[in-house]
This record gives sequence, C-alpha cells and structure tokens, in this order.
Amino acid sequence: MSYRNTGTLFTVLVFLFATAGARAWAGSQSKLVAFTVDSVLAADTNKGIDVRIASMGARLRKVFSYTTYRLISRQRRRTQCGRMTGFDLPGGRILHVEPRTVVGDTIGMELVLFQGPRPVMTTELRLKRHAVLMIGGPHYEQGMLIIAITVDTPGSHDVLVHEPRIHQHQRLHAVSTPGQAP
Amino acid sequence: MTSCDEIGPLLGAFEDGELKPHVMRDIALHVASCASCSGVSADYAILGHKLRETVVEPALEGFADQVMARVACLQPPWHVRLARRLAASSAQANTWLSMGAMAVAMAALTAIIVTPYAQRFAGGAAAVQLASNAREPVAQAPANTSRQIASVSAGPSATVPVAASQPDVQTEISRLEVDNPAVALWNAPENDTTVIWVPDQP
Ligand SMILES: [Zn+2]
Repeated sequence: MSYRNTGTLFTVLVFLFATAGARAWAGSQSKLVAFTVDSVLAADTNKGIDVRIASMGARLRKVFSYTTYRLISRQRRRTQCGRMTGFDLPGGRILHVEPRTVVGDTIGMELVLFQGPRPVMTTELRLKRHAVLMIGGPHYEQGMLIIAITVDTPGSHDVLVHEPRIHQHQRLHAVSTPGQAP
Repeated sequence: MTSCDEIGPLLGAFEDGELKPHVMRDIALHVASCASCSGVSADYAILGHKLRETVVEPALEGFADQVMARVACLQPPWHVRLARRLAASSAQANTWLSMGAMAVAMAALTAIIVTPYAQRFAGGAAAVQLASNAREPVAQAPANTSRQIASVSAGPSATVPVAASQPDVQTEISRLEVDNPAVALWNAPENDTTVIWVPDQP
C-alpha cells in the first residue's frame, strides 16, 4: 500500500468520524424538551394548598413552612436543545430556559431570570426528569413568589407545539376574588 | 431595538441561533412579551423542524466495517511495516510519558480547585452564610434547615461557586450568577426538589 493510499484512508476515516459526530450532534439538537413552569404564591394567610397544585403540595410543605400556596399561572412549552424559550412570570418577571443536553434522564440547561429587562439570576444546571427546581424569594402580593420548574423529554416523534401566549396569571386574577379560598 | 418592525426581519436568524448573543437576548426579551413576534418565531421553529424531517441522510450502516475489512486485506511492504513498528514503539513511550504528566497535572489542578470549596462546605463561616442569617426572611422559607446544603454570600453580579451535587441529588448546579448577596441554595433529595432562594434586593 502506498503513502497516497494511506492518505486516502486517513481522509476517509476522518470523514467517517466527522459524519458520526455530526449525526450525534444533530440527534442531540433535535431532542424535544418540555418545560412546565408553575408560578405559586406562598403566604401565611392560612388558606391551605390550591387544589390545582395538590400533587406538589407535599413537596412544598416539606421544603417551606408557609400556610397558603396558590397557583398563579401554569405554563408549558416545548423546545429543542439549543433553543431558548421564555415564560412570562407574575410581577413583570421573565424566565428564559434553554435546554443544552439530554443525557439519559438528565437534562442540562441554562436558566436566566429577568426582573423587567434586568437579568437577576443566571444558572446552568442539570435536572433529572420529574425532579423539581424551585426558584423563590421575590415578594409578590402578600407573600412570596415560588417558581416551580419541571422538565420532561417527550417522544422525538412529537412535533413542536405552538401554545398561545395567554397571560394566564392575569386571567386567573380576574376570576379569583380576594377572599376566595383556593 | 424594541419594535416589532425591527425585530421581525431577525426572527428567522434568531430561531436558528445565528445572531450575536446580545442581539439574541434583546430579541428573546421582546419575544417573551410580544404575542405577534412569538407566533412568527414559533412558525419559524415549526418550519425548521419540518425541513429537518425531510432531509434524507445517506445510509452509512456497515460502511466503516467494509472499509476496515478492505484495509485488513491489504499487506504493506516489509520496510513500511518495520518503519511503522519502530514509530509505534517510540510513540507508545511518548504517550505513556505524556499521560503520566497529564495525570500529575490533573491531580494538582483538582487539589487546587477542590480544597478551598471543600473547606467552604465543611463549614467555613467566613465564606458561607447560613440561610437563617440572610437579610430577607429566608429563615422562614425552609421548614427544615438541615436540608439546606449551601447558602452563599456573593458580591454584586458575582458568580457563586456551587457544588449542589450529591449522589442521591436530582439536580446539579454548575453555575449560579446572581446580583443579590443573599442567595441561598438547598436540596431535599427525598422530594427530588432543589431550591434557589433569591430574595428581592434590599
Ligand atoms: Zn413584537
């Protein structure tokens, strides 16, 4: 075998590796990731847990010690690795999430929380499917705002869903009267 | 850059992630609060998704095996084999040397990186501020402070060193930048829950 043939073989191998790498990268890029972001008002007003977040009630009670947890908005969005998606949160806050990697049941992502136009928190983390990340602390109405984030990886056969941007927290506000128990 | 007229022409490139980071951020901010641009952006995403679905990738199954099988059948002349064997043995020696050096360097680097953090999380009171001491009512937040794994004092816009990874923990935080010095972080592995507590700025 001549050196020219060796060179050709080397080129072919490099091409194969590059192709395999590109395919793997493209596979990871096209992975769909579904986020659910619940905005919860936590306060000490003795109204218990909103039935709409009953499944999260045990978690909230174990981690925090408030007496009222009311769901203000629930938003679901799907996106792909490398694609940022945004959530409108109560109090003029915005949450940007960008999934970066999906390895097994763990999703790597970047989160940026904005207060108006100002980013107040940027974090990179890996979250397991169905684990919950709660971002809390900002004052809201008569209590605190807790943003509960869960993530899932729906089947890759699913298509992107364009959910209408309903300002759900505004709508819920309109229908709930001040004294109403959750 | 805030109006839909300015943003509209950039939405395609935005969906493809082809813009400069600050432009991406400006547009992302606008899209998050503008139903019209959000709709256009989603349409671009769907279009891109559909286009990618239609691309037919060439079948490469078994190609590498076939190439390698043909390569195995080829017998290079004796002097080429000899030269390769000599080169391989000297390269192997070099490889072992470099691997050894790299291992030593990695060990040194790990010791440098890990030691201060290990000290911090072992209870370095100067660096780690307990949640109960935070300015905002963080103490009220956790029902059980024993679950808390780290509460970190950080300067304005500081990057908080985070090591929220334990064997049974569902979340690993590799970077946390906040502009609030009283950020707290804790974990409740039995509930698969991790909390980042960022109080309002005083
Ligand atoms: Zn617009």
